[in-house]
Amino acid sequence: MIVHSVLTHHPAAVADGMVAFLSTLGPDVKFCLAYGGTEEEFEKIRFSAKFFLNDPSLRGRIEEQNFASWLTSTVAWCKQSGLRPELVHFTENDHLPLRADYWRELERASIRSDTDFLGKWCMDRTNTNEQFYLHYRDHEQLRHHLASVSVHSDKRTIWGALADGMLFRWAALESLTRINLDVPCFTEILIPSTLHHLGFTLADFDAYSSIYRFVRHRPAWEITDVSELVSQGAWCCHPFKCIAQLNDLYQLVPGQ
Amino acid sequence: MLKRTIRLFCGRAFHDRLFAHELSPERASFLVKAGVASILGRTVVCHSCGKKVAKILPVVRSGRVELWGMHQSIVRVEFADRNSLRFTHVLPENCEALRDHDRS
Repeated sequence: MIVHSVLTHHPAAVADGMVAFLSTLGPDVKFCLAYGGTEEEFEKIRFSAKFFLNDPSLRGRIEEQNFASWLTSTVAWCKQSGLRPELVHFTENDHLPLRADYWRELERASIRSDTDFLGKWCMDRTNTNEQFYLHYRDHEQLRHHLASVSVHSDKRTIWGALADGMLFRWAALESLTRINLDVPCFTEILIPSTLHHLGFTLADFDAYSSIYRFVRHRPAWEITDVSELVSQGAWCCHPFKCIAQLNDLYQLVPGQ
Repeated sequence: MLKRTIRLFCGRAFHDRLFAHELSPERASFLVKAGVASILGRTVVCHSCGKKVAKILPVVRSGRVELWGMHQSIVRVEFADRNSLRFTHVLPENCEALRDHDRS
């Protein structure tokens, strides 16, 4: 079973529309909604599997965001709901599945890779010219944090992955949320590096599947692009920013 | 003189943005290095897949070797022998050798 946790700050009507779309596309998947907008708007959301995130970092600059509260709240919601899924998937509101077998492909990629965590651009960034590695390699608090949890002899290894689209095996996620992740470090470095040092295995989606072929940083996909992607059989796209066109996009996707 | 030279070599759009202070000195330096590397640089390839990594220009400056143009790709670097470096892609989306599936 897969639990799919969606992070959004959009107005209640948009959030409800997205969950309705996802629930129709993946009827066997358990969805939950993590809300990072205002409390007033949160109260208006009709979808019941929701929880409010009041972490101020989620409302700040991207580089300062820490998704630890999202992960922890999702695990807490699973436990409250009596769920113990094999896989837990985390996406932001601008990540849109485009096929009904999207979640089946996530499972296939997980089995093929035989790892505890899959992510886009997930890699050991040590001794590379990747910008966040260069920024954090001498970050004292991060180094102290990793050394304090590490089961490896090399405590300086730094991993990274795109925060959108992370796929965890339950054991890895549960272990991760048991430790203190209150470290002033970009979440795309903190989460994969901590998992590695806890002894879990990580891999890049692109090594095992083309499911994230149309996941990129920028530019954002337009509705005309998405129409073409659907006809090409794309599994998903990211980022899609135009919320005014979301209903049109939902109509494009087979199975709706 | 400086302005005219920058305009001649980097183009009017770059010149105008630079002197309108839309570009920080760091960003301008980065763009100049990238531009010079694209003209004078040579292509280096991935040790694993043999495909292009970047077009780079090595420059020795301030006691370091700068590789102008290397920002085009995320790579791991190691010594190939006592005098040369070799580069390897780290992202499967750039490197066939790192992919375990049919992307067709």
